[in-house]
Amino acid sequence: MAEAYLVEPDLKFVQQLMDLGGGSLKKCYQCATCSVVCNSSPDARPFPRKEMIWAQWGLKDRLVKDPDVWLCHQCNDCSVRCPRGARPGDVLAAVRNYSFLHYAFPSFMGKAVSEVRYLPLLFALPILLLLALLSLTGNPAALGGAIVFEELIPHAYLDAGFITLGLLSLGSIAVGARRFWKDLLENSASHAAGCLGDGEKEAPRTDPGSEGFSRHLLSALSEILRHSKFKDCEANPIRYYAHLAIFYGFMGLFLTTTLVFLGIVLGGIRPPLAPFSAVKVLGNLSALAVFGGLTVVIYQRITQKEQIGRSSYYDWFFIGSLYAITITGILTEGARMARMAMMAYPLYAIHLIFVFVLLACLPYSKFAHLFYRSVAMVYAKYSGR
Amino acid sequence: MPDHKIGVFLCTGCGIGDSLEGEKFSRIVTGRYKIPLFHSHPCLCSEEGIQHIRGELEEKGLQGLVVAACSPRAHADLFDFGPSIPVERVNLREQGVWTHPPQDEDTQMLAEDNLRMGIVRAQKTQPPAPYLPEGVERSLLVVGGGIAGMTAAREAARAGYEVLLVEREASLGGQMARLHRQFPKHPPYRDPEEPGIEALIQKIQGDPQIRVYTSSEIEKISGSPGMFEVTLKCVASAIGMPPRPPEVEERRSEGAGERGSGGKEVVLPISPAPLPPSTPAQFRVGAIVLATGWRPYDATRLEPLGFGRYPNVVTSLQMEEMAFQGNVARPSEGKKVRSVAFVQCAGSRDANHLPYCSAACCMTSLKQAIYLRERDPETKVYLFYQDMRTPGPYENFYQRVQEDPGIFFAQGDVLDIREDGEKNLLVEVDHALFGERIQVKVDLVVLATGMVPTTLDDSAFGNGPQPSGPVSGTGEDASSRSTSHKGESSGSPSPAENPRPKILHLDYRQGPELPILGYGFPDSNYLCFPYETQRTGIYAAGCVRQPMDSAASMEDGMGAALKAIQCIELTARGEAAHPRAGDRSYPELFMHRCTQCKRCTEECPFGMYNEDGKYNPLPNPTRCRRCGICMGSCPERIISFKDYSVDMIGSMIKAIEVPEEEEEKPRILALVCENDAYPALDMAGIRRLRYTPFVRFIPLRCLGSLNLVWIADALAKGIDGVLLLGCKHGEDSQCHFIKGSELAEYRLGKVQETLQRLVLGPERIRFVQVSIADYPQLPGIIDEFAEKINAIGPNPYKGL
Repeated sequence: MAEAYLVEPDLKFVQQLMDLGGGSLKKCYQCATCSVVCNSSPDARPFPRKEMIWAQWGLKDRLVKDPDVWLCHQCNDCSVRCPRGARPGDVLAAVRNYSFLHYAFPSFMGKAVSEVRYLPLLFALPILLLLALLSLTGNPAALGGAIVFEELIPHAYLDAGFITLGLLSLGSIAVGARRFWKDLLENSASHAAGCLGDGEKEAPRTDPGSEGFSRHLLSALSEILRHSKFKDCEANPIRYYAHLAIFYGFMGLFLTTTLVFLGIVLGGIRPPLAPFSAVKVLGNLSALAVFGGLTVVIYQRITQKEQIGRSSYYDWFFIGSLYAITITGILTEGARMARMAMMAYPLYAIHLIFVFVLLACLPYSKFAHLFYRSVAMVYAKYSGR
Repeated sequence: MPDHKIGVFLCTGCGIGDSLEGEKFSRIVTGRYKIPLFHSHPCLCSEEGIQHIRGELEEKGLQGLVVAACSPRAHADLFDFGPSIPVERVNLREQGVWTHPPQDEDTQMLAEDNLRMGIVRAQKTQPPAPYLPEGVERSLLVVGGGIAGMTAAREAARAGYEVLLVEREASLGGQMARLHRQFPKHPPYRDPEEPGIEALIQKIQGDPQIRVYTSSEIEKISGSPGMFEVTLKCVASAIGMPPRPPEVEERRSEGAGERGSGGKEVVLPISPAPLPPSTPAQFRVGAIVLATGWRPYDATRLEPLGFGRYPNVVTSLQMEEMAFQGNVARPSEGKKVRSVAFVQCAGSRDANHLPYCSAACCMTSLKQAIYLRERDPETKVYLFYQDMRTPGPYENFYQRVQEDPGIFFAQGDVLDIREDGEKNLLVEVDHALFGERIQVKVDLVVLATGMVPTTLDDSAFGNGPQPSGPVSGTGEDASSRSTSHKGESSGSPSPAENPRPKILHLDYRQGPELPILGYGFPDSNYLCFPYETQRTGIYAAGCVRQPMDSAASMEDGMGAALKAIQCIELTARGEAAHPRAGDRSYPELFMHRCTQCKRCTEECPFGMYNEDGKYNPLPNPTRCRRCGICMGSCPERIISFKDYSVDMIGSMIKAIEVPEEEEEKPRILALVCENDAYPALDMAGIRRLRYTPFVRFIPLRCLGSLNLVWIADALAKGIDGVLLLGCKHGEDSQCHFIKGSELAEYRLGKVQETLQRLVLGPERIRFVQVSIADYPQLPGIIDEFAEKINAIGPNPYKGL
């Protein structure tokens, strides 16, 4: 028989989880109602009951390496049914928030996104950058004529800047995701050694290699694109549509931006595009989808606290910045069409600042759930979870 | 008794008149028994019916009544015409027309036999003259000055009774005075409280109705309720409360000022207690409350949990003592305690140790966890339990403790406790909620040990440490979980066999201390009769009765004091205390025929009889509960009550008409305990269940009053079978008189001899244990026995 597992509860970690949105975690008395009502949980070693006791005992190591935390899509059926008000859904969300912090690279960025007091700092950088850019390239005369944003800041600068930022963020999230993946595999090895209890041993999982990985990745991606796991959460069907709208709207905007960029670089097509060009229509529809989805999400978070759960700073930071980008984007376009130069240029500037912040914080904010959850889902496919 | 003037009243309501022929009853009453007064009424329980009876009583000067109507359990208050008029109720309804077909020959015969038995019983009944001893003492003795004893004393004093409070130690307060904090007793039940015992001590000491004797013990108690003679003696080695360090005392006083229950109550240091009597002192009291409390289970028997082996394994009590002294530190070198593991059910709910739950250990550990965390918020507290038992509002406290981020709960068996080189303890637990074995490293282990009643010696439990298996709790032993009832778990020696500490020093023939039931608590029946011991007039309260917390102990003290007062008052009126409260009859012995066989003195469950030097029984009627067990035990049949005797029941049996063999109408006599079996029969009637009409019921005060001569009488008369319906005995005893049904079954073992003499098979007699909830099965039991008797064939003595 294996050695008994030496438990050293991390008191600070318990407190952190409670601060990150899991304030009710100590109320759990392990009845396992949550695991029973959860539609996402597999039959073997179900969640979130075991995560709840690990959270109570401050077992940080186990929780950050636990794929189940990410299989939860936070429908909060468990929280609503919990007889003690322990809100397991919120606790798992808190663990995910902690994971953003835990896997952050560089770690100071993780910290900067974790607390509201660093928020001014996050915005200070893009504001300063923009001011610097304006003072270097600015053309105040542009404000007088027809509204052409190119006149204010040349697209080349913006493209260069945002592409660099995007690549940095992608690199950073890649490091985090890679660490997470390694942890998952290591965790699987301890399962195989029988250290993780429940009496069920699994075959050890080693790195599947790129080929195996891509197979499981494709399968997970198809699931993500279809939002099929999301649909398992029966309690709140509206949320499924809202998330779907945001997801595809965001993808549409990403595609629009890429096409416009390619148009500039390859075809020399200078924006603004004609109002009814295909790309413009795609962009506008996508923006409306994101706006609509976010509006529903925000409305639900404010009015249905029971079902949605307590929204943490991580939630508001992500939702808020995305909403701000969408609204400023739409308003900028509107102002441009209405030929209101005094509105259009400042809105455009604000829009750029929010885009910068969102992009820069991608690996450390809730945005990163796109990556960590995908990794966990790939792992789940791969380990037969 | 022809000069005994009785009247017979028949009620024809509730279907009796429709099913039975009243004319035939009239013939029995006026013809066979020559009783001139027979009245029939359509509704005797109506106001008009009762007035009718009253009128006849006065006009004819009747000395007794037979009311042939419903069960004696119905309308008992309406048919009560005062103690001088005995009323015999003949059950024609529940056990007559409601259980048998109407206008049927057999139903009619059954009803007629019931009437005959009732008339005979009424003729043999005399109104009892109460036993009125002179100078019944109304003061109470309370033994034990802890929370239960002090509450009993105070409540009795408030009810106007003088109290003698005896405490062995040098000061009052008991276990409560040793507490640093107590777990919450007031809404919202979230935070530990000050024990607050000082206020109660002061009230006791300032009460002129209460005389306190500390450093004192009982040397002897003789006599009986209403007239106990108590002798006290001084305890030379009495210990007082340990002094607290001054700064702790100061802090406590401040805290108490803020949180104290009264708010304005000034908490003073415990004032010096009154001195004990210098010479043996004599007192006379009417009743006694035993509140001597508990001792912790001997932790040295928990060696597998490291106690005694490792210095940093302590008990809850030792933990409390450290906190009380304001110095929680590791015993090994006095280092600060930063992590603690509590092991619940240490030596409890375990067939090898205390088989029961002590009710307060869970809350005690929760409380200690909280104050340890308050002392130092970096402290980690682990709590290993089998089941958290926090009944009622204590659930609020449990939830509050759970919310503390530094307290870690785990359900599971503690498998091992080891020490590392630095005297830290490694506790290995099979963590049921993790689903794996875990280890924690702690500075201190606290064993939550259970309570042993002071009436029992530690050695009474268990076989000592066991070499293998989980060392705490009940995990491996499912059977011990189920023994939550009274009774000795198999395998461990009976507590009764072990040496018993001497507390009361009773001058009783059956021994100086209270008899004990399962687990060694001095109970009589913990469910139906709390506080009542097997010695009338002596009531147990607090943890000596059953493990409990201080709130329950206070309730217990109150309850026991009221029971004691009831006993005194009933004794003064010459009436029985519980369970036959108000009964004025008592056993009278025709001593000329006594053979000094000692059966009555030995078999009385309440130790009513003392003995003189020549083994003559010396009755103490105020100790008697009027069950009649002595009457049943006496082979010479010299023990009788005015309204209950061997002759009376024998005559009733003889009044049953047994048809000739050719008629093929067998007769079965059922002797029925009136406490459980008889009401069960009534309930069967209320639900209109059917059973054979060949059975005749005679209620007995307790089946323990069964005298074997009745069985001989019945068989000699030609009755084909005898059924005995008594209470459940053994592990789940439900007998109102402790061992009545058990004694009846034991006596039946001896009836075989009689049967052989009569050349009859033993299967003609059957003993069945019945609980009140068994009424749906009763008809089946009776019919099955009737079929069996039918198969055996008629009694050969029929018609002789």
